Amino acid sequence: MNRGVDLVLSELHERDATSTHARLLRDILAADGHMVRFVVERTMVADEQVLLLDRWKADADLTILQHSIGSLVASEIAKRRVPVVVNYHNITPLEFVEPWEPEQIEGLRWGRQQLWELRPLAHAAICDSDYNARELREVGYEDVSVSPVLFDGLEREGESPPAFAGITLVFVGRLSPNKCQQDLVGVLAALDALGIDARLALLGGGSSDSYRDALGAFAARLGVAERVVFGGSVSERELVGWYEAADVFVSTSEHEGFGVPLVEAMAFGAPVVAFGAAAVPETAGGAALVLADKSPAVVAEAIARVVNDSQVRASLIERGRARAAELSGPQAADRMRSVLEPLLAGAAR
Amino acid sequence: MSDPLSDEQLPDDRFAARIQAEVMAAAEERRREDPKLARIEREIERAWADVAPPGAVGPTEELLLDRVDRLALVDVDAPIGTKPGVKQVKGAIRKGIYWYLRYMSDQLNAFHNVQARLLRRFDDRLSRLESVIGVDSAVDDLVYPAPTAGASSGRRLADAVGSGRVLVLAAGAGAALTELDNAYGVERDPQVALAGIDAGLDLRVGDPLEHLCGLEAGTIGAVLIGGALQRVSPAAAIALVASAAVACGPGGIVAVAVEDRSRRADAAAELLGDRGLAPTTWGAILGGVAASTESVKVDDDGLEALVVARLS
Repeated sequence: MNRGVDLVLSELHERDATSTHARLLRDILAADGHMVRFVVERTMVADEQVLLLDRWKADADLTILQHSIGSLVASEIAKRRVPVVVNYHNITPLEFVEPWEPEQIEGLRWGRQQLWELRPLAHAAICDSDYNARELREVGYEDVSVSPVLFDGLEREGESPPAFAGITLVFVGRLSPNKCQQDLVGVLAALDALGIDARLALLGGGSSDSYRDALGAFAARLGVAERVVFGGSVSERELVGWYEAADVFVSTSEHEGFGVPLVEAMAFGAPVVAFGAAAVPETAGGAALVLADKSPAVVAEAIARVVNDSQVRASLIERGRARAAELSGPQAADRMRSVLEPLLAGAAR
Repeated sequence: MSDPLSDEQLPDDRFAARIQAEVMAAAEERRREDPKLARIEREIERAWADVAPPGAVGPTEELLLDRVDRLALVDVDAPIGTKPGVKQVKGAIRKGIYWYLRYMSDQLNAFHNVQARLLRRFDDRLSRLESVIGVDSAVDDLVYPAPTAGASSGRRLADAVGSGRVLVLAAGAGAALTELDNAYGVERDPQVALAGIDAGLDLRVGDPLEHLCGLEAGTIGAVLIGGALQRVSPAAAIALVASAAVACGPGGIVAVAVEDRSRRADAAAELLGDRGLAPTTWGAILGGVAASTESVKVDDDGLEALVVARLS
């Protein structure tokens, strides 16, 4: 039976991860014949299916909230006591942000508070990873399913980055303290000690100016500034170009609710070396070199191994491609469908 | 035991665990052989501490305490020396600072100084307590490795365990795993673990305690504790057993492969002293969480018994 479904999120953007996930979720539901609309506080894109929060009547058969930070839409759901499915993408823990951008922690704290407020109204929850699911269960959510975050396949035509004689390391993600890009900068210095000439491309917009400035100063102090590329928010073609140029995709992030760039890198045949924090090991699924220790010597050794050992490299690339196929495209859509099916069947008309 | 598999044949998680162990062992060896690398790692840590704000210098207590020390002093000498301005105005500012701000900052500095000293005292005390309760048992293990659960312990446990997954903590080269179905081990030392990984066993390199504490409740059928972990103090043993019981849940099994202290060489006996508990003591501790406990003899090198507890 066809249902009316409201996908509720704070803001709808052109490219951010939550908006992309919500759009693909809409496509899955619409393809199955359900009537879907977005409910948002603000929209940055023109889309005929968007309904602003102040006009929302909360009369759909099923309401699915995208939750990753404190928002007015979540407050409205709690205030109106709307039965909801919480689609949880995780919230950056405060301790990472507080030393750098104390003014940002209010939104994060609010988001975690809202998890408690929504719990009595949430008849189910969908999480990107088991890691996220554990967090919700700790808060008291009971019916929690796991389905990987949905993301667009990138185009195959990349724009090549400037040539470099040594090896190219790539990391994609916001310049944010929880992503720990400083560890990657430190690894460049350790690679120097191993006699390996490397450059590091840090791609992604910044959420903290002070963190960005500190990374620059840190790179200068270590004498590697010329080999660190702060690419910022790049176009899709540039991003693909960097993935294609990557000798290794390397992550020392300490907090990932899923880790889409890991999967994208795998899809483009870049071997992945990553610190095994939060959801990273389950996303990697054995197809990356996941490290229990991210001291510079260990990460540098791992990179050297992947670069110099053709068998390991080939195996990681092959396993990575298979893993990326599991977590994206039709397989990911099918997984989401199987999670949504009972929720749609039980939704009141 | 199955034949070792080639890289291509290994399942994803076993392949990654094997390469991880090799990488960690290689990094350790390189650090030992090349002191320059260890120095560079320290420089990296210090350089980041210099540019990062307080509280963002990572998990190293020593660095955080250095930060506390540096930040404890409130400097009231306003940086007006290099700024343009009339000399008399600057003089007036200095006087104002001297008569008012100086009075306040002296009190704050005294307060911060006491706080910093207290934190250092706490840090020292915590380190001493940790050494007393045996958190540092791995250090002893470097000198006199504790015997790990072997094939005999594995067979004994296999008789008792049902169909659930078995976790062997401080598994060494994984000898116990050869006798257990659906089992994996965690070993801290990558060099030791590599021997088992090369033999095709499901062994992971990491901190066994961290691994245990990271498991969701009730997700493991049985936990076998061995190696350095059975040399911990009574207080740490109680906490360890409680954590293992949570990971297993009702009906699960917690077992301890207990060292035979009477078979220690003279030097080891003297240096290790009373470290480690007797099978009867482990039985009593396990009795706190279990419906029944049983101590069985095993033939593994250096071990006295396997104490098996079925959880209530």
